[in-house]
Amino acid sequence: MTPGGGSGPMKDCEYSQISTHSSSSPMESPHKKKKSAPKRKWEVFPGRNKFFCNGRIMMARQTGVFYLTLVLILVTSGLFFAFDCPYLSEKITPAIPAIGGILFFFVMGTLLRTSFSDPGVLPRATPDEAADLERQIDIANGSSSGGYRPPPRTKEVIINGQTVKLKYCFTCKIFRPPRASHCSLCDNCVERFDHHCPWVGNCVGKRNYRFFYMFILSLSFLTVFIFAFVITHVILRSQQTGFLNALKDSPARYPFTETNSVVCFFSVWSIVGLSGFHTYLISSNQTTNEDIKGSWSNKRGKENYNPYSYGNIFTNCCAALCGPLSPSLIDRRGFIQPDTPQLAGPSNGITMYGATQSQSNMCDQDQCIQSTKFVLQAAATPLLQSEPSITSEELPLPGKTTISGPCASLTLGQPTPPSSMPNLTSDTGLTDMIPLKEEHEGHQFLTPEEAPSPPGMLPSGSPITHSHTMHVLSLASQDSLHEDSVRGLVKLSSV
Amino acid sequence: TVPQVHSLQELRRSASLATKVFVQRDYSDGTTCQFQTKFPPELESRIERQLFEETVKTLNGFYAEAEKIGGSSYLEGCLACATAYFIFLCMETHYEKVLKKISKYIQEQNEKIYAPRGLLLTDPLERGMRVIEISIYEDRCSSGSSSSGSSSSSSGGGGAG
Repeated sequence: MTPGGGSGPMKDCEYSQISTHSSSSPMESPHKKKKSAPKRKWEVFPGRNKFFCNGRIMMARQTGVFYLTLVLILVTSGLFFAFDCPYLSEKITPAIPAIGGILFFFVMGTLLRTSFSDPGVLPRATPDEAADLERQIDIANGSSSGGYRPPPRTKEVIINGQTVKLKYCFTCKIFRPPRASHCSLCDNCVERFDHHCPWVGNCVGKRNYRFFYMFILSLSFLTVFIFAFVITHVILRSQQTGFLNALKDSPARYPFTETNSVVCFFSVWSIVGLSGFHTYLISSNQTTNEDIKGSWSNKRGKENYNPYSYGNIFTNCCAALCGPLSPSLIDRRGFIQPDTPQLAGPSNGITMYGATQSQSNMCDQDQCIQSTKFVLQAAATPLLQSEPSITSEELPLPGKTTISGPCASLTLGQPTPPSSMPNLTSDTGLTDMIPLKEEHEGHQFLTPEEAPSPPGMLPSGSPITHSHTMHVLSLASQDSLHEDSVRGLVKLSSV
Repeated sequence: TVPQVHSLQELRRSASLATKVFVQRDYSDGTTCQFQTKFPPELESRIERQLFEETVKTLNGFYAEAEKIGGSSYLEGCLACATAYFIFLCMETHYEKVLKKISKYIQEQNEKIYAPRGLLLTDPLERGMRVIEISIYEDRCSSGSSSSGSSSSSSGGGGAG
């Protein structure tokens, strides 16, 4: 893919000298970057996550509902222990608060584990990987495919006799493993993605699904337990003093009993229902995602079956709940190594990129140069991205209407929504790239089939776009162009 | 920590990074971690096919062992569940133990087999378990420029150039 074979080796020579020089004097580069304390990887994590306790705790960005969950559980349980337990332990048995205590402890433990742990986030591709993948995709699809459509970015794999399509994630620049999905709220690809749960303030994926299930299961038991014994308390008391008297006494002496019952009543149905649903999912080894999309349902065809299921309910349950726990792949608390190339495509703009420029300089110059050449060659469509504020959830892109839009103003089929190049957009005034929404999912990624580049967009001779692109290139540094250029390779085949 | 420090430093002092080859995951068995044993053409001149395949097969074996669902993993899972998963705060899981073995194995392979041939394996764990990254180094002072040029153009050859 190197256009000039002659210029290639020369360039490699120059840049290889730089890389050897800087790496043979390791003292210099760490010094340049690490003037302050060495950074941990969580500080430059490209997803939309919050970290606490120096990287030990990881949650989604919106945690308000999680605090609500905590408050509800703590208050309900607290009231139960404070007001109902003394009476019940006297009247019936002290085992009641004991069991209640164990259940409460279990609920809190599993809730915190679910909320604070890494759901199975896949780290984004390093620049080298991304470039290599792009190369392979272009080889596989052939540049002379003719049409204006960008080649579909899917791979097909046969798993247990069932054909599964692996989709390319434009944000993370990887082919998603089977069952993985990209969460638009957290802006991460998550392995065995189940769903994003606002109640626990985190995604539910491979690594925390069992904690989540244990949480809702134990919470069902706890709510049923509390509900039952609150009712028992009222009944027993009313036997003593009469029902109305019991209720009358209760606000004065045992406040919130009714509130407790009401809260529990509503929780019971929803939580128990949810537990039942997830029990079904576990026994058939499906994720919520797959179930909602009907990936393995018989309605899609007689031959459609779930290739991941072990065949019987018991094995499926054991595998999901007692199987091995894979470690976190994102190494939150590790220190950033000066030698290792850092991740491309931060969604939070330029700050992360600036910190890692020295690394990417050292190791990927040849890739950068090659990719930049393609941007120059493509020069067909504007490549640029929106402001970071545009989260890809809001804006659907109707494929047809964009044709009528002015050539310079729209970038169609542009794959990567959340990555942003603020310096480029502000200068060139090119407008946003509006990503497509896939039908069923709450989160966002471009399916290649839905990302057409209609013929009208292709300015075989549009001077405006051409000049814009050149203008852009002159402004940006090569490194910041690297992301765009890698994305620009998508456009290559449409040229 | 960078495991292959001494070999890596030596390698980098005398050689320069020419290109990287990525061995992708093999999903034909489902979501279990396995890597493709297909021999990358870029390594044709650098290492014997059989050595490479053996490395990948051994790694696949390690990962299969880590993810094995059987008696001991059930025991671990049930015990962890019974303690509301608090036991994970003090105990190392079976998977983590195997990963340590893998890391040692890779380091050993690098020292014995790959570094002498100007190659370097990167632990897949550092790449999100997606790829085995093999860095190909060229000797800077030898006819490095021409061979690195040919290797990069061969890896990119046939593309949209």
